[in-house]
Amino acid sequence: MYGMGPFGLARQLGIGRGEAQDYIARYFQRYPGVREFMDRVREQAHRDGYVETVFGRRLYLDFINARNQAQRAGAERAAINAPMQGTAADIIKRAMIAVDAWLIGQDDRARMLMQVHDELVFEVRADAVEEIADGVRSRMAAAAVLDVPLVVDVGSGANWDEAH
Amino acid sequence: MSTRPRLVLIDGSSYLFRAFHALPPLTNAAGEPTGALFGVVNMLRSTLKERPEYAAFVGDAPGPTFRDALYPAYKANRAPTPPDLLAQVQPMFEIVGALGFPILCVPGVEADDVIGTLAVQAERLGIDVTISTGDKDFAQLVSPHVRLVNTMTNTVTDVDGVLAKFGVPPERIVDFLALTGDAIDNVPGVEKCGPKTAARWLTEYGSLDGVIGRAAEVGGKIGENLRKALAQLPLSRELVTIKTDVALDQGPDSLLLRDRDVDALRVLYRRYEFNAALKELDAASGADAASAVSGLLPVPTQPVIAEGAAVPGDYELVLEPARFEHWLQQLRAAPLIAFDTETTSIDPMRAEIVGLSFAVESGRAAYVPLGHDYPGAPVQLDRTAVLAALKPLLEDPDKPKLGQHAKYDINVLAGAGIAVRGVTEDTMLESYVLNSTASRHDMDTLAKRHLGYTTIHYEDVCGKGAKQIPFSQVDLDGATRYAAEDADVTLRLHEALRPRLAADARLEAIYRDIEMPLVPVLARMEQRGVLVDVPALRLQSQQLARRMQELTGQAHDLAGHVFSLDSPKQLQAVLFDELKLAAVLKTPTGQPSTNEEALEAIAHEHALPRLILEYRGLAKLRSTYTEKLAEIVNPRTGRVHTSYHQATAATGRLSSADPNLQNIPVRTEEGRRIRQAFVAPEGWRIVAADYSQIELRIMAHLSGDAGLLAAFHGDQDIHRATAPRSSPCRSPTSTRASAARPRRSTSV
Repeated sequence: MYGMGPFGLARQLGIGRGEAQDYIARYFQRYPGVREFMDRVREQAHRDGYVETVFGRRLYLDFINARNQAQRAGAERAAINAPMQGTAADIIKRAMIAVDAWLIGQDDRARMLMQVHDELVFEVRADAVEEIADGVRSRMAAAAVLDVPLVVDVGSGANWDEAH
Repeated sequence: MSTRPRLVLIDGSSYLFRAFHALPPLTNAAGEPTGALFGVVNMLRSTLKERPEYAAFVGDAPGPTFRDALYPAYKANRAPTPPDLLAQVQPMFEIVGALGFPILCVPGVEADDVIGTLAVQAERLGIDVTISTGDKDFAQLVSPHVRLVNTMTNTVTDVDGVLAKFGVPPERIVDFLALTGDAIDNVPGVEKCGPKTAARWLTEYGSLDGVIGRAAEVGGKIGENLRKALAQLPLSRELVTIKTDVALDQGPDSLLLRDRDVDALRVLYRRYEFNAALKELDAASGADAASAVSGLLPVPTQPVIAEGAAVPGDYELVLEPARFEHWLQQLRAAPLIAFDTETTSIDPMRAEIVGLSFAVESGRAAYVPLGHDYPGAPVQLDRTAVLAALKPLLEDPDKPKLGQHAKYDINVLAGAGIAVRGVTEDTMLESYVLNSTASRHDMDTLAKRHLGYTTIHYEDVCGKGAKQIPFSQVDLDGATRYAAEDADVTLRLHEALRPRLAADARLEAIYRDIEMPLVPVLARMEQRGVLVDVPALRLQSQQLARRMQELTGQAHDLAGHVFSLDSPKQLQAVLFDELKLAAVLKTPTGQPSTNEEALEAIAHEHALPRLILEYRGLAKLRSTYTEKLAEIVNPRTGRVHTSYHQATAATGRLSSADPNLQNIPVRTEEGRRIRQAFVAPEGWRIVAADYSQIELRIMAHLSGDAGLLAAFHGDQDIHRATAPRSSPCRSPTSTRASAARPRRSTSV
């Protein structure tokens, strides 16, 4: 959502443009560091042609210095979103590796099945749900050490919707 | 952001002509004319700054073309080329080549036809096309993925631009040009019929055929002129139609921009006295040299191609036990084994092994066929014995292995009872980590890009389309050339990519600590699959169909008559002609649009648009999930085996296919119902673990903003403080559907 601008945000939220503008203004007023960060990333993107995640994954932005205004604006939006999306990707991938390693040899009671967005889905023998949920939660939360805690919501049920 | 690669097609003749006429007649010290050349060089240098993946400079080959045969007077009005211009043609090609542009001149057709063909082919390959030209005829090729750029005036023409400029959409441009004619090319049109008349007629009668069919209705002098031209119009249309089906030796994806030849350019720039270009050249090559030392600048887009990398290797077909034994020993002794499987299916969960290939040193590889069963196929080694002999090696975690998209081969071999371990390298992931957006990461593209090597394509040995044969039917010699090459090229690619990764500790860590260890994890998830409740899906399908039927009935009531909700044309008539709703958006052809955006825009005016939107949403769910999921259940396992794409999303996120899990609606009732069909077996439960607000937390970490950090440490929902009060999506109870959290829809 960062870098989306009032128009994009208004569409995303189904609110008026003025209201979105107002929201953005209030957001930046409340969290001035976010605006500074966005400026910094934009600058870095223009200078280096790429941006990085917390772990060092790199995203090149081919159009960051394009003469075409629309292309350039698109690249700037991508530049701001990429460190977040990419870091989220790094984190969940690290979590998957850790959880998989823990579950090796426990196939008869827990199996990792799916990864979608920021979510991991498992099938777990009914009597092991609590223990596996705890183990998964702690491993996911420990997949990265950031300046804020990582919080993991875990649910269970007969199907994915109930667990979700 | 568009991550599609881009192809720039340069209309060479147009470039040179325009530069010649636009620029003063410059000469160098030796008296050679340089004006046009100067213009061309500058236009090309600006094209290069945009760094397209693919490019071609397309010129006219000498000699007549099919249009001369069609109409001898074609282009008869053109004055002979001035000698001063002619003198600049050869040097132009030299500079263009040295700049790294592939040059195409195809006899018998015009440059336009080559450009048209490449544009259409590229679009099919998912490549965006920019045609650099000043010629208005190219407007007929414009589409959502093909646009024109005029480097002289710096204007870009897209679909809307064509409509604005000509008053007709791109697909009517040939009709338009046939009507107006072209004095320069000596294409006859209708006398006195200018652009406005042509556009008016085409809007009124739909097409040139419509205009011809109703020529009798047109009154006045212009009507007479039209009727006089009737016999000629189809030929005129043919003359102005750019061909898009010329047989070419090279496809768009082979038109990679090469490294520029700095030495050749220096000589040429000096000779023609292009001092600014020369200065830039020296500055850039100095920087290149510096970055090679310090490693501080981004990876160059055009890698240096190692000598000898582009020659085919020495490939052995292994049919004798003794030869297999020999290779087995080499594999055991090798520090790194490149391997690949040939199979019967692209779905690894259904694929049978047809053969295996190996390489242990660049330029030498072997193919071990196991399942070629065409009539007269030579006797092959025993499948069970070969797999049993390879098993300890492939399963040994301490024997390093290399693949290209090795997850596929791991899954295939798992099906044959071999749990591959020790895959430490994957060229697809090396390329992806180095630059996720630079190109596609399949072997053919990588070989071309990094080795300058054109691989044998699957279609070359198996044919394509309906005539494609399974790999088991391919003759052993052809199969060996193809399959052994896969292993060999993978090894060569690794040799080219490894040093580049090793040069950057952070990227190396992403590759070594995240992407490579993830490969077996994903392979295991894919092999396990997930249980889906097929009867429930069928029931849902029926419910969806019933609801769609209800909506159809209601729509008919609202319209006052029966019509097809699936037909945009009929819907258009109902919404805009009968109900007279405002046509807010237009399609590229100028018709009132009925797409989602257009319907949303008029949803408050009438009940029908909203109803159509619901109907479409349900139809989509039904085709992509409730019907599809039941179809893709693997008959052997009874489960659905999603495949994860590890090198697709530019951001580093995984994506999935069959089914695409990302596209299951997150917040709707229908999305919930689809997730309900993913079930646990008897005695088991589904457990889902979801990171809460992870991107916002990452933002707090990255920005270091004190307020945001504090908010997360206090563990309050930061958006509660600032979220718009009137947001309809946000209710106090729906914490998951928080409106201020559109993280999943923002994509890069």
